[in-house]
Amino acid sequence: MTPSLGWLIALGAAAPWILAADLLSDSLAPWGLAVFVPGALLATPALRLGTGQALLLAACLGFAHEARRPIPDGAAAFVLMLAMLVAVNWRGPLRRRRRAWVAGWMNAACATLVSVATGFGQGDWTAWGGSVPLHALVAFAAGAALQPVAGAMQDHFLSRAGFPVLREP
Amino acid sequence: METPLRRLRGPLAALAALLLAWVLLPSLPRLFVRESFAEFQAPALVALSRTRELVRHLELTNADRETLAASGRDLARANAALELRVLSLESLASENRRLRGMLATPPPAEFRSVVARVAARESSTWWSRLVIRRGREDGVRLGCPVVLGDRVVGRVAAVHLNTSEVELVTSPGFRCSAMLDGDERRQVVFVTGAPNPPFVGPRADVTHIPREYFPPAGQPAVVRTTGLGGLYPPGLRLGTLEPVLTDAPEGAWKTGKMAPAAELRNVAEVAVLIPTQPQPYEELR
Repeated sequence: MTPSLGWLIALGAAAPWILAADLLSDSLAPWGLAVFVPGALLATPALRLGTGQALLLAACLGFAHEARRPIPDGAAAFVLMLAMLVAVNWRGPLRRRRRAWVAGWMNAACATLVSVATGFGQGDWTAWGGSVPLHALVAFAAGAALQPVAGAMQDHFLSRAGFPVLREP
Repeated sequence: METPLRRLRGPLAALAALLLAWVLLPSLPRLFVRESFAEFQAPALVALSRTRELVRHLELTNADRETLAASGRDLARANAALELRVLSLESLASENRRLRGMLATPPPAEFRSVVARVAARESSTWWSRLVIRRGREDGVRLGCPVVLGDRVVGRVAAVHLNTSEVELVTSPGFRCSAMLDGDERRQVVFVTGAPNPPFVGPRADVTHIPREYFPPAGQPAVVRTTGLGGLYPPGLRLGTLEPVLTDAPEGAWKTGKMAPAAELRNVAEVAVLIPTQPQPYEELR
């Protein structure tokens, strides 16, 4: 296995969870809630992939998220890349802290930034500003709940493919 | 030892440069990236939707005979009523054709309808969308109206090979001209989708309501399409106007909120109205 395929393995392991989130969003549609999860799928690969590979994974997750939504081109991709960059540079604390919490916070931060980027194109922010904290809360809960299972799956596939846990760059 | 913050400086600068390059990139490559990722995900979404349908089908096939007999009886009654309605519509259509011929007016836009199953729904404050299992291969075009019976669901906002995205009436990007039931002067008002907070029923804004207009007492004022611009056939129900109207800051008209006609967030099947001839909005695009 060549190391260059690490991002693809992590992406493949993330895909079922993205679909699961889509299903959950479908069920929550009558209440006007959408579940954002790509931010939570960055925590585990950040520990095992090099910076370039990790950024490629984040970009793919972001582009996949915004492809079916009216989010400005590249907004989700660059937000996730930024989050991945921070995670890769803080591998030590990421390893030591409870990863579910870290994933929850990362996901909430990414969801907030993507929401704000989307909302700015829609004029009066007072109409949507109040919804941002609620969506962030949902993203935090979804990220923290998803990380133990999704992270374990990504961990399993990446370790089987020969990607060890890396130290700080 | 180098701190993480110091370490981050270089990659952050590279990311900022990449962002700048992305912003300056022409729209075609960006569109290509968006389309590729959308097409890549489409089969999984369709498979998921078909699986759900299979589960529902198995549920229905296991229904008891009493339920099936009752459903059959109800359908037979509905069919009888619809047959009568078809007869009366056919006679109206022939009279309409005759009158148009006498007045030498151009024929109205004609649409063929394509029934589509809903593959996924997503509703947040910033957008309300459906993904339907019909796309470019089925003749669906950008901007086509999407209806449920005589009620407007929305319009096609993106078309992929076998799937399309529908922007709902209450989604912030939606715009449409309309007329209000009970307005004797038949003045045109505008329906605009608006950001909808969670746990609140979806609503759209209605603007340019004449100051002298008052909703009919005791019944909701229905908001209908005008047929102007050729996007929607005239007379389709967009929704009902809520009774509370407020004066616009400009003072020349009133504004109100509209509840959508169809239960948008639970809809399972819709019809896409595809114009048989290219419409002005398509030629302008």
